[in-house]
Amino acid sequence: MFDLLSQPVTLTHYLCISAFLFTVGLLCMITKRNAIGVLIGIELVLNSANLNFIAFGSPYFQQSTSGIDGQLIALFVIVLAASEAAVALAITFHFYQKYQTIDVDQGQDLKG
Amino acid sequence: MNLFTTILRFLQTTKEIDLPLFYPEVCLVVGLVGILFFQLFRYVKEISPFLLMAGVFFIAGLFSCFGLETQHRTEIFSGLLVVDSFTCFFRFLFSLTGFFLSLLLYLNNPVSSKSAEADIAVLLLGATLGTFLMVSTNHLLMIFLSIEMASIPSYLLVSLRRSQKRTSEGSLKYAVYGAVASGILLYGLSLLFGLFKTAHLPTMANEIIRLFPAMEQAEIMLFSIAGLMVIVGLAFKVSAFPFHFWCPDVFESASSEVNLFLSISSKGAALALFIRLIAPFGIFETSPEILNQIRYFLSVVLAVLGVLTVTFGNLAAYGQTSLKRLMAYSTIAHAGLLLLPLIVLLTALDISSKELAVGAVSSLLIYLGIYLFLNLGMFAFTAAVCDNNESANIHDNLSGLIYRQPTIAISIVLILFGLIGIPPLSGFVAKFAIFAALTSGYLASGNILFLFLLLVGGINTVISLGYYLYLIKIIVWTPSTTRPTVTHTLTPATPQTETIGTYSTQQYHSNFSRGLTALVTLCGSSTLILFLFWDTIYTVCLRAAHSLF
Amino acid sequence: MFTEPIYLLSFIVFFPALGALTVLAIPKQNTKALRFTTLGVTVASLGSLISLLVAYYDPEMATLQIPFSVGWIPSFNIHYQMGLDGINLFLLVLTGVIGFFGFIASWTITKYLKGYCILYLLLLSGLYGLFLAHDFFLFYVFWEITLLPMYFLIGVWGGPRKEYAAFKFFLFTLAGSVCILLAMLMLYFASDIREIAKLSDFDQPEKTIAENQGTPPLEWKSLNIDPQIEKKIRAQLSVSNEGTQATQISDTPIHTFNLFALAAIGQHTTQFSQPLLWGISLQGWAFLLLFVGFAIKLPVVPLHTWLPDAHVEAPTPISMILAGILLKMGGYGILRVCYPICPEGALFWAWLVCGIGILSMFYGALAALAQTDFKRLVAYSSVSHMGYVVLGLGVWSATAEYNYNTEYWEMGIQGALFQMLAHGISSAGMFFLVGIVYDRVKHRDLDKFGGLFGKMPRFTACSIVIFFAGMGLPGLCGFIGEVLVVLATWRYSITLAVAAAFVVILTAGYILWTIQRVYLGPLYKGPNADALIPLNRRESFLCYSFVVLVIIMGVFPHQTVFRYTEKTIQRQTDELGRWNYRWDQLQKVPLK
Repeated sequence: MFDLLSQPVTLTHYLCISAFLFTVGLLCMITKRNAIGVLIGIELVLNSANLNFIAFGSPYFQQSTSGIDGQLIALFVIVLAASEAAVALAITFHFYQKYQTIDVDQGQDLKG
Repeated sequence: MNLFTTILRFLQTTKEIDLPLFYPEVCLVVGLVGILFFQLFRYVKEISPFLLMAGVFFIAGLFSCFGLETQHRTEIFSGLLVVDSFTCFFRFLFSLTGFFLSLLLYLNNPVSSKSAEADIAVLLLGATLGTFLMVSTNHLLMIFLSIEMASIPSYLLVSLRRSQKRTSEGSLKYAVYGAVASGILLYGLSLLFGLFKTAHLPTMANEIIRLFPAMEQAEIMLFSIAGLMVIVGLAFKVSAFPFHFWCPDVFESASSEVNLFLSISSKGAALALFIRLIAPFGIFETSPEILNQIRYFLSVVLAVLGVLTVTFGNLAAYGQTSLKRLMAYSTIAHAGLLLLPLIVLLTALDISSKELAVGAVSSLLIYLGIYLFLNLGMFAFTAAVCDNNESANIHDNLSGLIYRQPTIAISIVLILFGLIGIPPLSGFVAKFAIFAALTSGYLASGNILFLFLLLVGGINTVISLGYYLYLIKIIVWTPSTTRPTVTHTLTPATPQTETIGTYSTQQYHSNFSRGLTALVTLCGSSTLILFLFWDTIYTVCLRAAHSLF
Repeated sequence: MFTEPIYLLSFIVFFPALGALTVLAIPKQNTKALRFTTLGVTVASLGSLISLLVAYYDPEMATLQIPFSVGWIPSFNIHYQMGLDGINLFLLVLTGVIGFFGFIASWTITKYLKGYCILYLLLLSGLYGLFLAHDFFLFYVFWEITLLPMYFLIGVWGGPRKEYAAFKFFLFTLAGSVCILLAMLMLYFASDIREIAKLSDFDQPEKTIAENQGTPPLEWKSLNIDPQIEKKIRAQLSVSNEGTQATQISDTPIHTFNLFALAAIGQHTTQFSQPLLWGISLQGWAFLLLFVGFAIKLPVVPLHTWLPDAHVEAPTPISMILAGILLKMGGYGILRVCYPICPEGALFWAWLVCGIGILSMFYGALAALAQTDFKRLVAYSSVSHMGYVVLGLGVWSATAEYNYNTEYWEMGIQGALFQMLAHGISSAGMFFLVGIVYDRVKHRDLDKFGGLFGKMPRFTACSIVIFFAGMGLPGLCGFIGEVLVVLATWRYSITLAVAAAFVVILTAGYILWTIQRVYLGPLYKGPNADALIPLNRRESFLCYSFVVLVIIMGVFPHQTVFRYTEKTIQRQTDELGRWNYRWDQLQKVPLK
């Protein structure tokens, strides 16, 4: 750990941050009952993956055969994350109109 | 100058090679934009968007037909996509699904306003475009992109139904769980990308063969975690056992047409994507034994998933009171059965037997093809009955159907027997193909696992008998219920609402338009016809499977 | 052109189905037209079947007669393939006869008559197809086709607990068919038809007739193989004989569903002898699975519990069909599929088959003794009688100990086949008699009967003859089958033979006791005593027909049945005996 702090920035640093972000996002999705909180968690997970793509794709850290694939994937993911968030927010709004809350645990009509 | 010629050459290959193979997708995109624009003009606006959509799917299906028999494996758009007969088969299947879906939507309109109709049409076209891309994926980017393209419209499709409280709950659950699954999938993909430093699937397979023997323990660990994450993402789309929980809720809240899309196109595309991910490990002649470990790992994971899914789906279907929920569990069980040929495929790659691999894949393809018609009939029926009465209760909707609607009742009984898998109905062919693949897998490899899977398949056929026969029993010899079917009020826009509350056979009668009766009867008779002539379909499936290897 | 085998046999199979389509067009109010059309179809199909047999069947031939084979699903080598021989011949006739009698007994059905007629005719189509089919897949399809109409016939037109009974029937049969399906797939994928063609004595009639003491050889014709496949194999073999283009032969095996080809593979090659699991070969497992599947239908004792329920709840004519024909599907399957295809498995499990046979005989007879419901008693007597069939099929005495003499086993199989026919007639008759009583007094409680003799003398006379036939009185049809089976068992195991003979006493016990409780004694005073009117014309016609059949079959067994069946059965047992000889040779001197 201290090793990482004293070294110049390498691929490992990025991977650690991305893993951290992924865990935080996952925990956020699992524990939050507020729909917006869950959406934030999803964004964190997507961005952690993005960080991975960029770090792995970067020619400065390792000999890569993948060209600019990593960066391109990241760009696409950003767009998709935005559209996904838009759709999810619209659905959340719809839910709010019906239930007057965005607490996902309140949706209990569907069971069995 | 140099750049200019590069661009020119690029444009030329796009025009000459890539685009002709991409016509079905182009057709969908044109239709999608067209339907959006048509809403601006007064006269064209009068045409039902669903009919336009049916036309678009028809043309897309025609374009996919051309490659059905002969298309060789061709990578297009610089390796992002791959087109072969397998792709064409699925494009055709999804176009067919879309076509019938449009007819069903046209006959049984689930929304009240014209603009909502156009919305549904556009979203369905977009989601189908996503499934088209899923089956031709050849690149990590395309995996994520196509899955999202298929998913995001589906989230919205679930929520687009006449104002009902549950609908929003179902779509919120679907959207949230779906986003979690795709997030996990994407992280897994990023790890794979990092491990093998390429995003092109065949290249990655090559790299795995090259690098795997020298991998350290930690790297193998990472590799398996990444693989599991990808499997989680796909298993969610297939609704395999621990990731199935969205399926009943979504099926109950969404309209039946969307259920049909989810059960055929969405699940079918996810299974095709599974095959696309597995197949590259077999097309290389050089030392495939290195990959045995990976294949073994994958087949164990898939076997556990498949067995749990099929058993859980069949058991959970007992005790359901909602027809749509019961159908959701039924689709889960069928999806579990559809995972089993993938294990045969892995074994076939192990012992490098092309015949076995082709048999395994084609059994999956014919299963989907036949399952389309069975599900179409069932969901056309639930669309006409459950959705219009705002109640999916089995007893209310099915009891005494044979006295009220004999033609439809007989068709539904045939379809239900087909879903059990009894000859002389088409469902048997599907089951037979899967069992045949498993048996040949066992005899070729001697792996006890297959005997176990056969046993599970056999036992599950018997288990599933219980709830399908329960439905048949209610249709054929339970007299009609006399209590009102609907307890809460609807938006007063639709004419049916006026009679609601005072139950009468008249009301039920009005739900079956002639077109819907024809559609259900078509599906019912297709169970017999497909059984008699399944060789034709199976030949097409074999061709499609051949083009993979 | 229409005398081609394919048209003749397809006509037999699909004529009732066409009749069902005709019935579909008749309005449902017109009950008279519905009944007479259906009756006409059953009569016509029986008539055309019998005229076909008179015109084309040659009792001196042991091989398949009027065979045909047309491709249906080339990708799986599935053929539309049928033919007649001594084994299925009388089961077809039985189907025709019981189908005809059953519909006469259906005259009292009034509920949803149209649906009843349609399902009844579809059931007959399925049964004809089942007995004629010689492609395993086709056989399986017809096997299940009979299941669907039967489910509704029990479930809609049955008694108070019809839903339970119909579901149980469906569940048990489906469990059995899954077993058959698995075995079928295993055999299919393990088979390679080219291996038979490579045998030295294949397709060489002159040579083999001399070697086999006159029995017909293995050849293309006797296997009823599709000419196109034959051509394909011939082409491959001729190439490999030249040796020059050996590389060009595809090594993809040509699998087959053809029952005769599978039998030839099972008997002449080692393809099915590969070990599968726990030291038991593929044949052993296939035999076990097939036997379980067929035994559920038969039924034998641990798997019989669906039968009493189904019989008790089913309406009279459906009980007649169920007991008269459907139970025979199981016996036919064992005889046609299990034994020829899996001789090794059959030899291995012979003790199990015989043990189950004896167990069924005992259990069925004892359970019949304990019944108070008349129909249940007849149902359990069916279980007991089907035990004879299993025992007769299972007594494999053609072993080295007896110098591969197949005479006794052949007698056992003939006895089993005769027992199937005799039971088909006598148990259908018994169910009809029970139905007559039930229609009148509306109960079946044996303890409340007695003294029917005084009220219905002619009915009682017929009943006593038919029940005695079930008991196995000499001179009536039940005797022949039982005595042949017991004699054949003597050679296999004396203990079993003694036990089998003892069951005859139990049978006599329950039959005589029943006759005493129902027909004899003081005049009937139970519920609905006034309703006990003499037989009407329809009922007396059926009763007399049953009596006549029972007596004719009992007095002239050779002229009516054995003359037509013995050649085929002899051939089958001879082949299995020779297989046993080769198998023993192989065991003593292992091949390199």
